[in-house]
Amino acid sequence: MKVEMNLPSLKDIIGVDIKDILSRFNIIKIDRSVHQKVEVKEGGILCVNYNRLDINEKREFGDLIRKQAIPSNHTVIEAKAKEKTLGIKEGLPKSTDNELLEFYRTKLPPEYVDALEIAMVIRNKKQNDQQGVKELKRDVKSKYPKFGSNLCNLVSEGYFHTHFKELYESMSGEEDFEMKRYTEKIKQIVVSLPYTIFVNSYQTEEELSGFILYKLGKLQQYGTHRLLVHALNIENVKKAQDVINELETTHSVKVEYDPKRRGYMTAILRFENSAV
Amino acid sequence: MAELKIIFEENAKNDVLEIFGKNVDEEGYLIEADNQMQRVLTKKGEEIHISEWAGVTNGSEEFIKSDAFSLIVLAKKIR
Repeated sequence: MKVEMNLPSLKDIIGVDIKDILSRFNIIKIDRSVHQKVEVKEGGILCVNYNRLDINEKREFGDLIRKQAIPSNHTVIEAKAKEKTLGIKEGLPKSTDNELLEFYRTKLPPEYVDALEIAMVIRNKKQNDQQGVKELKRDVKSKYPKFGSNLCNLVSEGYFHTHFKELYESMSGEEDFEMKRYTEKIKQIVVSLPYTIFVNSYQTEEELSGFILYKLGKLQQYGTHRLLVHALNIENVKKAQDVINELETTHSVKVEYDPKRRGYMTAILRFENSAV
Repeated sequence: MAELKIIFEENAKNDVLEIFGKNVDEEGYLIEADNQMQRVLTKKGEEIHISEWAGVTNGSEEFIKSDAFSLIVLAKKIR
């Protein structure tokens, strides 16, 4: 809404200290849709149509921006980018998330940690900003097409907060533990997410067996011939092992282990007649 | 702390580029106005397409992109 009173003349603005302008106005907006050279809008917004300024006015306004505003910590930002930045700020990782980021910083490649940080913002924002979340997810997928989307989904489901930390506890307790094995395991799981099943405590053996066969069948239809079954802790490993042993005989399922340990296991399954 | 009080609409992108002595080449990438062969780079050395340009940030006239990875750096600096 245009406020038609006390419009400043351009010389009121040009040549005045930036902090004085910003003490008079909350926002300076550069906008070609403004009909005059300058207009004041409700909410203390000073609009400047730079395109309408004459050459001297342009020079002076430019100096205001470059020689005063920028050196004194002002950012000149596109309006939608400002909204996006404020949205990200709202969802920035809090203290427990930051501890988690530090945990993974020494264990995962830098690109995974960067994506993890944005995924945490997405998780924090999910409830109240669907459009913003969509855009952030798109940015992660665009920058990291191989693993970005999958990583966001795993963060959303809490796997980085619980499961992968527990996996680290399990793996790091082994005598022959090497960090790169943990790193590679996480990367394998993230990249393979569309064809991975996580065994959980609530599934019965029958449910797990049915789910494995269902997923294997579906994946075969889409031309993917392997399924990863990932289990953590002794009970889940035993359950998965029992189910897989049975499926090997009853349904001609072939299995390789990568690896099979007492406290964790990844099994790679396929139907016997499938391509490798 | 960064301040976000100076904003521009999409229709004023070229005006802001002019203020900072930049232009856009045939492919839509930001370039130096006085050297058409020199593309503007982010701090990380990335070229910037006009469609993904977010603005100029404080201190040393650093040009920033509008993706999440660029804006999160700014988000951490604002009040």
